[in-house]
Amino acid sequence: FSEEGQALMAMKASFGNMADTLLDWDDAHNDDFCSWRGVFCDNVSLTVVSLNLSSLNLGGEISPAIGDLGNLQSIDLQGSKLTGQIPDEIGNCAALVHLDLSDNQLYGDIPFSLSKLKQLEFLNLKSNQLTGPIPSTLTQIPNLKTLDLARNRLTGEIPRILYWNEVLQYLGLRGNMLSGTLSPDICQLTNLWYFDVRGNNLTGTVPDSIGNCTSFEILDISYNRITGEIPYNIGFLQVATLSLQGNRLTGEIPEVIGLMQALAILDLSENELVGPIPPILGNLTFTGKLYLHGNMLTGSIPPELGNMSKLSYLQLNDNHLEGNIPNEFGKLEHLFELNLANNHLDGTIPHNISSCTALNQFNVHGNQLSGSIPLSFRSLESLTYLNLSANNFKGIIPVELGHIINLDTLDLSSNNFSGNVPASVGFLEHLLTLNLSHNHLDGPLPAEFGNLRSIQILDLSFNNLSGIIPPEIGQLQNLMSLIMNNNDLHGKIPDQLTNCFSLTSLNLSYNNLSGVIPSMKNFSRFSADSFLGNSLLCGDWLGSICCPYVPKSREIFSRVAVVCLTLGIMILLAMVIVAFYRSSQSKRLRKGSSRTGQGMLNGPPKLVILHMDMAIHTLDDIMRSTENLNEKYIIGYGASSTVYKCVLKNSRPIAIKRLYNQQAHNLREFETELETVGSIRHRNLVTLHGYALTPYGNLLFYDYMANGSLWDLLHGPLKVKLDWETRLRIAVGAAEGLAYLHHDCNPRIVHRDIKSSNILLDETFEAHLSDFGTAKCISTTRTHASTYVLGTIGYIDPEYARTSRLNEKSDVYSFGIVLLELLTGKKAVDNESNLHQLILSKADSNTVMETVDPEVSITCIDLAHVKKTFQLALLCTKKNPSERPTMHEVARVLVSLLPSPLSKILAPPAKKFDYAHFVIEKGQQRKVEEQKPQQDNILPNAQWFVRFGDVISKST
Amino acid sequence: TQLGSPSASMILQNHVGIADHHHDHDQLKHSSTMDNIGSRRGRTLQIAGSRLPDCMHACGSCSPCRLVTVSFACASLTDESESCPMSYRCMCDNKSYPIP
Repeated sequence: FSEEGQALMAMKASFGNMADTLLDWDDAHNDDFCSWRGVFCDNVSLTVVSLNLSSLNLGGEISPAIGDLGNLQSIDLQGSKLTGQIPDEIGNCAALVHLDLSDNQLYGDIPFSLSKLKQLEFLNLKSNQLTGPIPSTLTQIPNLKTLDLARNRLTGEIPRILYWNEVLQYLGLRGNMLSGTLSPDICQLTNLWYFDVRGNNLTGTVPDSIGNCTSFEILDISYNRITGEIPYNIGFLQVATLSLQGNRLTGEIPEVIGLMQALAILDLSENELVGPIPPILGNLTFTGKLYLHGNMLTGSIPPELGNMSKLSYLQLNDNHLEGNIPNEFGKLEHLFELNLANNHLDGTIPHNISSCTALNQFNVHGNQLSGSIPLSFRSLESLTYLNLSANNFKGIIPVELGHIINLDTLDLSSNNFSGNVPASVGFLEHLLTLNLSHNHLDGPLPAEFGNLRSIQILDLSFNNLSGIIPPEIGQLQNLMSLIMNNNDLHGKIPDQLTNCFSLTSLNLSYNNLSGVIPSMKNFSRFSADSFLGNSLLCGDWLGSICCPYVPKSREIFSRVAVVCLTLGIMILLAMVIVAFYRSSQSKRLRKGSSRTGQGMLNGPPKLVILHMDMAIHTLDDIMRSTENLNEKYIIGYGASSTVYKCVLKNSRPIAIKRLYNQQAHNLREFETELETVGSIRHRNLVTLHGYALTPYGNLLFYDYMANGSLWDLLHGPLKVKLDWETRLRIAVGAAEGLAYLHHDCNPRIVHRDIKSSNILLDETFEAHLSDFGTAKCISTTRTHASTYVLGTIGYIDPEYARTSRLNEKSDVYSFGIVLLELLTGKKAVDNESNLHQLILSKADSNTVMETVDPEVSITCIDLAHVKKTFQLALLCTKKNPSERPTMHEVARVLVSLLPSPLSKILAPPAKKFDYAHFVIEKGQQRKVEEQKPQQDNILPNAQWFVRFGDVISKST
Repeated sequence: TQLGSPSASMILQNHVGIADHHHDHDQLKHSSTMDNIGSRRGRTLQIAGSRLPDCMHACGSCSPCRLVTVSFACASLTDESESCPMSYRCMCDNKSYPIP
């Protein structure tokens, strides 16, 4: 075993994570080190000439033994998380041509011994934690072409002798702590094309001799402390990139820069430049990026900039520019970003800005622009960011803005816009931020805001908005900030707002809201500041109309009386309107009839019984039993409904679901939908017994489920201990109900909202799916028929969310998440924790079984079943829908895990499968043989199971 | 041939087109060796400035030889807004040649 082999073993010993990575570096079993991973030898001398261990996550340190590999020509240890110091002994690798130790955590000084590497051409120590000075002895390496020391902690000055290197081509010193000045000898680097000292502490001025650096292609001295003026001689450079950003340069922009046709990037931003923008810059017809922001430039924007035909980025923000936005900007066909914010521009937005069809970001914040938004803006289809805030714009907000479908930020705040908020804003399904605050907008809030499914920040404060808060806002699952203070909103705060689980900032103060602040779902986390200034609103602060404060008792009583009277009148009007509508549907209303009583007689509330179970009861009975849907009978909430319990004489209890958001023109559609849903019957689906259209809202009548929802049992305040067998039976029931919807219903039904709170459990803990079908009706508020993603965060199929393409595999995904809940007892989403991602990370480190609910571990006899269920859940949540099983397949596997006696009991009579066939463990093989299974049943089932087993093996 | 730092990956940006050959090049070279450049403003103004590289002969026998811009990936996790430098290359048959 040679000296080089020993050196390699010593190196392996000094690495930290070599156990797995360098398994084959083993002189005991294989002393041919030339065949080891990353080791390359010369064919003749059999000596090590190349070591390539990049990106292997080795850790540990570089051993001094590396110096014993005297024939090495190339060392690549990039990106291996190495620590320690670079050993001096590396200087003994006299034949070294290529040395790359970048992207590690090496510290200490750069060893002077590197100067012994006379053959070295490429030295890359980038992205480490090296300290100390740049050794001037590096210049003794005669053929060094590339020197990259970027992103370290080097200090001191750049050695002056380094500038006299006529071989060097690439000098990367970005991101260090170098001081001193740029040497007047900088251009003695006669072969250099890349000069980058960005992000250091260099002082002094740009040398006058800079124009002699004609070999430079990239000159980047950004983010230093360079002072003085930009020298005229800079015009002699041939660079493609000139970046002087973030220094303290003063004076004016030299006009000679306009002659530098080769410039692709010109960045003079964040300095102290004064004077005008030279119109001659418009001659730079090959410049793609022009950054002049963050200076003190004055005068107007030269129209000649419109001649920069390759321009993509134009940033002139944060200067003192005045005058108009040039019309000529419309000629910039490639313009991607236009930022003119924080200047003194006036006039209007030129109409032909809409010719910039590639425009992605348009920002004129903080100017003195006036006029209205051009209607032609709708042709800016690529726009994602539009900021016109803090100007003097007026007029209405054009409906056309709602057609810029890619917008994620729309900021029109602090202007003089008036009129209504256009409903078309609700079409902006990718919008993250909408800020219309500090304007003069009036009228109601569009219900279409409920379609802004991505919205995070919604600010409509300081306007004159009236009407109610649309309950549809409760659909915004990503909403974090809802700011609507200082408007004229009235009505009550919708209970649906409590469904905005992401909401952390809420301000509804200084409106005319009334009623009571919703108390469910931790809505009380918002302090009184969110609600002050609503004189009719009942809340928990001094001065509130329901707060006991003796001196104002009469006033409070009076206000209460007014509130009650108002509500009573509103309810009465609602009843009349509904009655009138029903009457107009069935027959023409008599002329001259103004008596309410006659209206009621002509159009009484409609009660439809779909199944005979409820035939003997009337709507009056139901209302009487629940005291007209009194709050004390509430047993649950949904995004758009409330559920009450109702006990009728001589009958099983029923659950009444009360729906919101129904609009008159959807009633017929609603009834058609319900009659379809009502025809579905399966033991694992909650049965719809009937429905009613009443002044209290549309009511649905279901079986009452004594044990509530699976969510209640797993995550509710009274956590119920569910043993493994019960959980498995719940999973089986839910799977079979879902399989029925997918495969046995005509037409097929995709549930779209499978989650633990929609799996209800009767007194025997059998599962019943609820809330299927109606989601489709509730959402048809858009004027054109197009589907958008429905569901609940944590359960939504990411493929469905991405493509809006709906099929039954989306439900399979959601069901997989429910399985994970059953297995772990954890919520699908808990604060910022996502259950699916947690399990995937555990699967990577093979520790999934650590997440099993203790109740399952205790009560499960065969943990292999738990593991198999995990595998099934991960199959259901495969990223590619076609790799997910069908619900029929899922149900079969789950049934096979049930104890045999129970599986027979649960099996429906129509299905004559012998589930014992799926049990293939050794202990039960005899049982299968003893039963002498029928031949015609074995092959299809066994074949399917084998296929499933294969898939499990692949996913493991 | 070695093209800069291999650790800085080059990203093809856009096609610039073939630049016309110009006759000022020799004069520019000549002027760079002159002493006391600043004092002769009138004359230096005529020869300051730069032109797109001429790829006509840069790719040897390979044609067509096109001028393209390349961007050097330099994004860091701490400074997402960092602008990456760009440079020119002459391209032919998916191979990159240094500009003359």
